[in-house]
Amino acid sequence: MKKKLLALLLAMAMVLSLAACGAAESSAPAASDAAASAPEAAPAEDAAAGEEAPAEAAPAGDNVLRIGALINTTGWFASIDYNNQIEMETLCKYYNDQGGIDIGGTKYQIELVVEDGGSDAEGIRSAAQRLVDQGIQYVVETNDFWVEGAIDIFENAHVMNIMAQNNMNHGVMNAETQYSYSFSDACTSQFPAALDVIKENYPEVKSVVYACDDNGVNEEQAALVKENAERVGLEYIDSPVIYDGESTDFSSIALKIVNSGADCFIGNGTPDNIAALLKEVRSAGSDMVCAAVITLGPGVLVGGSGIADLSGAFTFGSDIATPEHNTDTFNEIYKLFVETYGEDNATAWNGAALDCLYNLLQLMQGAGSTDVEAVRTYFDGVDTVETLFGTGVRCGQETFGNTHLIAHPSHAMKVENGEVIYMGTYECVAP
Amino acid sequence: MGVIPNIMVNALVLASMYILASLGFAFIFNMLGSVNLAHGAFYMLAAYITYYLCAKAGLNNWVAMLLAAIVLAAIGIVMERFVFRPFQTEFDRVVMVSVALMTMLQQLAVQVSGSQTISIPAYGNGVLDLGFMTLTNEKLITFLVGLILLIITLFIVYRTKLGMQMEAISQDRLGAALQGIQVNKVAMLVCGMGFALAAVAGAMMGAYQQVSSNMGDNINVRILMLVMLAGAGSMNGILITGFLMALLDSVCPIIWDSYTASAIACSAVVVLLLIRPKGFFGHEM
Repeated sequence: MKKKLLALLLAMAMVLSLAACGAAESSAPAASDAAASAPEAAPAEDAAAGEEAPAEAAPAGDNVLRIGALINTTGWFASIDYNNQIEMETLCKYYNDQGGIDIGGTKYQIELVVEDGGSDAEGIRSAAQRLVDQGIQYVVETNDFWVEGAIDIFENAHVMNIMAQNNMNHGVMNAETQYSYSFSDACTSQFPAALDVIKENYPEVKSVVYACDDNGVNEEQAALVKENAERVGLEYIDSPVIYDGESTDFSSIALKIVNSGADCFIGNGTPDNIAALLKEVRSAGSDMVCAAVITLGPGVLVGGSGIADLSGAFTFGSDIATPEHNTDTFNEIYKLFVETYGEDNATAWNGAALDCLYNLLQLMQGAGSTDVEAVRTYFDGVDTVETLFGTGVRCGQETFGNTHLIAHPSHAMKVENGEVIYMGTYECVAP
Repeated sequence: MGVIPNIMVNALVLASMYILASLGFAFIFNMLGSVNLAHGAFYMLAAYITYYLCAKAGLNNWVAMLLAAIVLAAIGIVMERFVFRPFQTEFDRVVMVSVALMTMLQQLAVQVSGSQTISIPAYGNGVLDLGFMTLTNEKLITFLVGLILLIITLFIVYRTKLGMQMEAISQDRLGAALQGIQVNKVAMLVCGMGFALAAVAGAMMGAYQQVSSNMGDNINVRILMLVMLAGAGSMNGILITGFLMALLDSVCPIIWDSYTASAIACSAVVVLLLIRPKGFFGHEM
């Protein structure tokens, strides 16, 4: 009896497996159909023709522009990428509510195709492959270090991929990469700007030391800090403090920074770590300035450090509290974001992936086409792009070996007695 | 600014918390022979409970810490009854169950709170200027809480009937039972106490440092090294090695980078265990 039951179950399992396989096969063409961006999408597929190029997509009647979002919706990075996702979805809603985006005289509804990397390098690679398999031709990605292992997938498939942040990572953008971009540089270009902020606003600072999470590019970042410290006439203390990003006790690291003798420490990395470090620096009796090259307002340092009357720290971020400091489009999108997702989500406002998507759409409009090659060619011909944060510049030749980077103006904001104060908008350009 | 006094202060604060968190683990290990690898996860859980009671329920952080300790003590009692006791003689099962619990609790923390780090409001504000250095009240309070609880624990272990029963069970469980000691009851009390101590450590460190889903991993490594180095069954060993470990953690990152410092600290533990497999003060494990 047991054997019969087992055989029956086995047979059922096999039937279900076959049915599932069948369903997957039959759904694949449907996915390709859906991936058809628009009539203009056809040349892009021609360009991408090759062994690993996506299957040819049929034109869709309703002109849907499908853009991939390679982010982490699960795992430890999900809380950061969650904002990236909902900010991009807000932008899609912004255009879709207006009847779509006009590209080359055709209106497109924008659909964000989200694939989860699971905060894992292998997961990111699988998600990238899934996007390529669906025939997606444009992908906006999470931060550089996540997508490093997936770049070859996009390069081989000629998929234009735009990472939200590139912290000087040459593994994802270099002279060899043709389809990798970063349209909202948040790091490379902000280091030079940070030194300008220090020079102009903190006359007591005579020397700086570089202190940062171990991010694999510390040497390059430290060199950039050194070069720009010297440019603005500050002494660079040549004893960089590199720490494990997963540290929990920052007291000794803070002592090392204080002992360096510098008047200011500068670095990027996890905001929580910078906040913890700042707390320990203050706890060690030092009032040295903290230049946090992060794309969040300095309020995050107040919250993270738990010091209500925190002073002497600044960051670069969106001044969401003061609409007159932002572009009109930014304000409209931000307003829609708050209406849709509430004030709570606004506290973690990031803006990087959102700006990447926005800039990509601007480039498509400029090119008058959704064809990848047409957009790339158009981008190569422009010097500036109107980003959500103001006029951005195409740059990065010295750093990355190509100019696939857009650096935009950034708001410098400091915190004094726990209050966030706008310091000015700084032009940022990556060498 | 005096570097050495600052290092000593940091070492003392860390030591008090390391020891507090380790005591519960050591009690369970000594009395029940169970390696509770989820101990760090419960330390993390207490930090989250304290945070939510403060941030969401608006409770004073001291009250929140006390409630977290009570909740964790109750969990400790349940753990003793349903995990440690049934699997007492099965080392591998306890390890498997505790690893599973650790993973579940970490995932729970991420699901409920997201992966960003948060901070429990400081238990003390302000700074003491000692002339040669400044000392934040937060560090002072963290150290004092650790010290007071340590003294109370030592008193219980060395000066009360419960402490003597704990010692008897550690040395010979069957013999203790034959002498009329209610082994299960004592074990339950000790588990509750150990979990509560870890809860206080988690709640204090959640303010002194930060609350994150991986905070339990870091303390777990410290607890394991500390208990192994001290040697099984040695309370004094835990005190001394706790301070030595905290001193290593405070000094090494100043001389070397974080990775090298961590590798050196771990290597030192391995070498010391090779030289003294029984640990410094305990009997062979």
